[in-house]
Amino acid sequence: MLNDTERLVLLALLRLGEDAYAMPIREEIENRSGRSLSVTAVYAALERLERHGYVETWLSDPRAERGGRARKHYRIRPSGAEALRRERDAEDRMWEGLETHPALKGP
Amino acid sequence: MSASGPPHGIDRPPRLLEWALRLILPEPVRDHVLGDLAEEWARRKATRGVAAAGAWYGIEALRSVVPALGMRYGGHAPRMRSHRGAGLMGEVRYAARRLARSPAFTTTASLTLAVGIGATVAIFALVDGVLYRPLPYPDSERLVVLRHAAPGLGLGDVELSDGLYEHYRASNDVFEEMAIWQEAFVNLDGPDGEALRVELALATPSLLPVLGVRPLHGPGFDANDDGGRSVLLSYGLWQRRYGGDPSVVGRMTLVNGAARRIAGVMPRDFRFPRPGIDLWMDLGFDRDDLRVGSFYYRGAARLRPGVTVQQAREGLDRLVRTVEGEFPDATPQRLSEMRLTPLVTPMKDDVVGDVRTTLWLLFGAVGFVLLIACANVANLNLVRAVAREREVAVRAALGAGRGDLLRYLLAESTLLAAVGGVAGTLAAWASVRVFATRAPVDLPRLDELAVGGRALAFAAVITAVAGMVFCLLPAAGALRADRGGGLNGAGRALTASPRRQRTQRALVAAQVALALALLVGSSLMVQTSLRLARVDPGFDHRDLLTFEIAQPLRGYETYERSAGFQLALLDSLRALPGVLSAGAVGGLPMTGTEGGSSWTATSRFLQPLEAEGRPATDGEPREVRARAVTHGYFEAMGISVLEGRAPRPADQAADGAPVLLSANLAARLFPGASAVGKLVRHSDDAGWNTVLGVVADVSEDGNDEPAPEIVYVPLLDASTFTGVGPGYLAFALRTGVPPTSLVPAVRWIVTTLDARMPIGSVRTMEEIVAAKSARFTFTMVLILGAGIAATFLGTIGLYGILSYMVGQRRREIGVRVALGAEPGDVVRLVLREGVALTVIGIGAGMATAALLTRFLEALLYEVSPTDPATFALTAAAVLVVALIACTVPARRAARVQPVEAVAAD
Repeated sequence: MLNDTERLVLLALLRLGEDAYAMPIREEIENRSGRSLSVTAVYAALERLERHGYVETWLSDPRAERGGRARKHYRIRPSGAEALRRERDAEDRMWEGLETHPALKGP
Repeated sequence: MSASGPPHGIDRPPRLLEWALRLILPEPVRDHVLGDLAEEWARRKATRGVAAAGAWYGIEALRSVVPALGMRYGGHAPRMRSHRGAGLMGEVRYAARRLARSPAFTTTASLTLAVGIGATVAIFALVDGVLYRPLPYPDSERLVVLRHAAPGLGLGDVELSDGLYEHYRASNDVFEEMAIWQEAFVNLDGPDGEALRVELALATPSLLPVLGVRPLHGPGFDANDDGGRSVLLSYGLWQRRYGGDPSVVGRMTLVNGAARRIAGVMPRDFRFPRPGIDLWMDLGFDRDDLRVGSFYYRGAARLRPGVTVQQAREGLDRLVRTVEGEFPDATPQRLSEMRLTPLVTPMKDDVVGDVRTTLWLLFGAVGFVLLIACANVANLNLVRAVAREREVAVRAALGAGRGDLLRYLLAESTLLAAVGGVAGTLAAWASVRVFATRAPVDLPRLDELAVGGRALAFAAVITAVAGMVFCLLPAAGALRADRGGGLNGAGRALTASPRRQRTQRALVAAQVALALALLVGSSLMVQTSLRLARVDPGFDHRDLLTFEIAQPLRGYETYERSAGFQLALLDSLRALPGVLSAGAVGGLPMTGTEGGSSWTATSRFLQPLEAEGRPATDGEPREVRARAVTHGYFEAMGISVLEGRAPRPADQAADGAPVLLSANLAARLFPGASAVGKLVRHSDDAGWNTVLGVVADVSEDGNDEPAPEIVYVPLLDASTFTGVGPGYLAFALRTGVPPTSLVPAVRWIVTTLDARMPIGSVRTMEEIVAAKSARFTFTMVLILGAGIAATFLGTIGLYGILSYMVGQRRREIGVRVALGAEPGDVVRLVLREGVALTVIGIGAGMATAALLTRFLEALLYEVSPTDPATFALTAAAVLVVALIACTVPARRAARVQPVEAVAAD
C-alpha cells in the first residue's frame, strides 16, 4: 500500500510528465493539495517508489546553479500507475453509497 | 566540475547550513537534495534578494532534519506519528519485562547507579547551596563585609571600630547604607519569670536596611524611640517563649535586668549574623565615647548600584586617611603605628570562608565513585550485550532497521538509568535533609541546604550522561556486530569480540585505579587525624566540665558585688563532691570566644604589651591575646606552670596585680632569661604588672594552628574595675567523676546564688576539642567512605569480569584439563589475568593519586601528599583485596570437568 506522501508524489508525476524532479513535484503538491513537504521528504518518498519499481529515473548533466551537481529526474512507470489505480479503486469501493451520509453533510 | 560546490567567487547558499545538511543527509539523496536547494536558492536570490533566499534556505534545512534522520535510522519510511510513538513505548514496556526477568543484573546495575548518582547529587547540593546559591537577601551581590588590616600592629585582620564606622558613614559615597554589630550572651526574662540565656546581636538600626529585610511583625528598630534600646525577637524565640502571640510587640521585657521594648519579630528564615542568634538589640553607642581603635564590631554595607568592591575599597582608603583628630585616640602617632588598611569583601565570600577546598575535594571524591559505578554498569552491560546479540540478529533478520535496533537497546538503557537516577536522587534528597538538620559538623549556610531546582537539573544531566553513555555505548556495539554471524554458530559465536574484551579489561583497570586514588587520599587524611590527635594542645581535655554565664550589669555595678559573686560561685563549685579544681576565664580555648568580661580595662581581647627595658622593635606584633583568669584556672585546665607559680586568691587584690605569660611570649620578650619577676604593662599611662609565672603554650585555635602568644591577666583585679558590663564568663571544672554527672548540681549552685543567671554552653572539654576538628573529621570520613565504596565496587567489577572470563573459557579450560593441566595450573591462569589487571590499575592509580593528592595539601598535617609509605601500603592493600576477589572465580575454574565443558553446547 502507498502512504499519503507516495500517493501525492505519484499523482504529481502524472501531472508533470517528463521533466519532473523533486522541486516541481513539491510545488505541485503544495499548490493543489495545500500540503507542504520538505524537499527531503519528497526525496524519501521518491527513493521508496524507485525501490518498488513504480518510478524510473535519469540524471541530467551537472549544472552550475546546482553547485555542479546533476539533476535527478523521475518518470512514473506503468506499475506505478497501476498501483495508483488499485488505490483509487479500493477507495472508491469504500466511498460507495456514502455520498449522502448525514455525517458528511456540511453545516 | 566537482559536486562539492560552485567555484570560488560565485555566490552560494549559506555554507554552514550546507555543511550541516551534508552531515545528516544519507548518501543516496545527499547530492540531489543539496543540488535542488542550491538551484532554488539561486532562483530566489535573483528574484527576491540574498536575505530572502538565505532565510528560505535555513527553513528548508530545518525541515529536512527529521526526514533525513528518519531515512538514516528509521528505515526509509517516515512513520506515522502514532506508530512511532507506540514503537518506543512498546519497546520500553518490553524492556521492563526483560529487566524483570534478570533480577540480579537489574538490581546490581540500578543500585550501583543509584549509589554513584545519589552521592554525587548530595554533594552537589552541598557545594551549590554553600558556595553558589546567593545569600537570602535582596540584591545580595551588593552586600559586603568591612574589616581592616593593621600591619603596624602585626595584625592581618581586625574588624571595625565604632569610630571608623561613624567616620565612614558620614562621608562615604560608595555605600547605600552601613551597619555594625557585635554578639553577646544575655539573660532574657520570660513572661513567666523564668530566665533564659540567649544569644544576642547588638546592632545599629541600619542593619535591617543594609540587608533589605523587614520584621514579620512590628515596626523594627526606631532611631527616634524614647532613648531606651529596643529589641527584636527571632521567629523561633517568639514561638518558643511567647507562643507566637503577635501582641507581644510593644510590650516590655527584661534583658540582663534592664527594661527593653519588643519592637518586632523577625521572619522565620532570618538568621543574621548566624543561626543561634535569637535577639537583636539596638546598639545605641554613645557618640562621645567613640574610638578609632576599638575593633570590637563586625561591619557590613550595601554598595550603591554600579559601585564595585574595588571602588568601595578605594573610597574607604581615601576616608581612612582623614580620620585623624576626629576621636581622642585618632592621634597621628597611633594612626601611623596602626597603618590601617580597609578590607572590603563580598559578604558571600565571607560567609563561605575557607570551606571551598573541602567541598570541592568531597565533590571530586564522589565524582570518582560515580565514574567507578558507571564503569561497573558498563561492564555489566557489555556482558549482557553479548548474550543479547542473538536477539539483535533475529530482529535484524526480520527487517529491523538500525533505528529499530537502537530503540530496542535504548529502551533498556533508558529504563535502567531512570531507575538508578530516581532512586539516587531520592536518596540524595533524604540524606541532605537529615544532614541539614543533624549535621555533626559546623558548615556555613547549613540551614539553607536543600536539593533544589539546580541539584535536580544536575541529577537529570548526570543520569542522562551516566546512563546513556555507559549503558548505551556498550550495547550499541551490538549494532556493529555482523548480524548474520549472530545467528550462525549458535552458542559458539557468543563470545566477546577481542575489541569488547579489551574494553572490559580497560574498564576494570580504570575502576581499580580510581579506587586506589581515593584510598590513598583518605589514608593521608587518616594519618593527619592521628597526628593531630597526638599533638599536645597545652591543656588536659579529659574529665573537664565547662559552662558559661552572662553576668548582667544590674546588681553587679560594684567590684564587691561582681567579684563577690564570682568568688562565691568558685568556692561553691570547688566544694562540690567530685570537683578537684575550678577556675574561670574570659574565653575557653578552641571555642573561638574572644570576649572577656568587659568590666575591667585590662580584659580587652587584644592589647599591647610592653616589657620594661625592652622597647618594641619594628615589625614585631604590638598586641597579644589577653585572657582574664581567676586563680584555679591553670590547675583546672591542666596547663603546666613552667616557671614561677600560678595565681592564688591573695594575688587578686595585690597592687599591680601580677600576670602570667605563655612560654612563647616570654621567650620573645625576655630571650635567654627568666621572665619571672620582670615587669610588663599594657599602655604608657598604666602601671607595671609583675610577671608571676610562665605557663605552657595553649593551642587556642586548634592543634593544626600555632599556639598564640597570651598574657593572662587577673579577672578580679580591683584596681582596674570599671563597672561596665555585661560580662561573659566561662568556668572550667576538673572532675574526678564523669563530668556530665555534675551538671544538675552546677545549675543548682548558680541559680541559688542568682536566680536570674542561667548557665549555658554546658559541655565537656572533650566535646569542644572534637567540635573544633569536626569539619576535618567529617571530610576525612566522607572521603574514606568514598574510598571504601570505590574499592567495594571495583572488587565487584574485578570479580565479575573474571567470573565472566571463566564462563567464556570453560571449553578452553576443559581442554587444558583433559590434556593434563592440574587444578593449580588453572587457578594460576585465572589469577594471572586478575593480577595483571590489578597491577595495571594500581600503576594508573598511583600516577593519578600523585597528581591529585596535592589538592589535599592544605588539609594535611605533617604528612607529605606523596608520602611513599602511604602509597605503598595502600597499593599492597588493594592487591590483597583483588587477590581475594580473584580466588572464587579461580576455584570455580579449577572445578571445571573436561567432559561437561566440551558437552555444553
